[in-house]
Amino acid sequence: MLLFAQVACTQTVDTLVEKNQWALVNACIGLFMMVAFTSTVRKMLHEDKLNDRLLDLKLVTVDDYTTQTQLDPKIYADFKKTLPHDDSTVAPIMAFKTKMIEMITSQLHTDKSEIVDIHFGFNNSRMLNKLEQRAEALKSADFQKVVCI
Amino acid sequence: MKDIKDKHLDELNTPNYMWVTFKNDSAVLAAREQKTFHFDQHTF
Repeated sequence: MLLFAQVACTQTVDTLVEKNQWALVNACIGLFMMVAFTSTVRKMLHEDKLNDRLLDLKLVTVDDYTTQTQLDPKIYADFKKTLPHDDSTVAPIMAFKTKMIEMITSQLHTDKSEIVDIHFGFNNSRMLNKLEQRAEALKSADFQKVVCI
Repeated sequence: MKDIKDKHLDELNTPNYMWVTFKNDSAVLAAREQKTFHFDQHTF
């Protein structure tokens, strides 16, 4: 059974206007809070980045004296071809490093430049993944899997 | 792992990145400004 009840609005126009005004005030306060919160978070992030930068400027680390570059694999491949085949006393990568130091030192336009060290990076993520799998197999004593990996 | 070693040994032993550490400020600045170097017929 459905029952419909129709009640006449007993609120006066002044009350409705007052309610609307309060709603507007509440909306304005909410908007102000949102803006204040967003700007505070942005300011904190900015200051944090600034502090990081200032700390970095204060600290002198080896990174400040280091440059990074990407090497074309062909450079090393072509260099290896120039090495004598019977020379097993020096590892190819060490010979490459020595020659790289000579080349950079000779090409730098400064009176005094000394290279402390050169480090190389390798794309060996696949090997590292396999090593992780092997370590997991060893941890779980799955020696059959260890042999397969 | 062995198959990777056998098949990609050259790839694993080929350097793709290089970090050069200098002893003095001027050399670092010069290297950063110069940007390109030549190694035999290659440029990096």
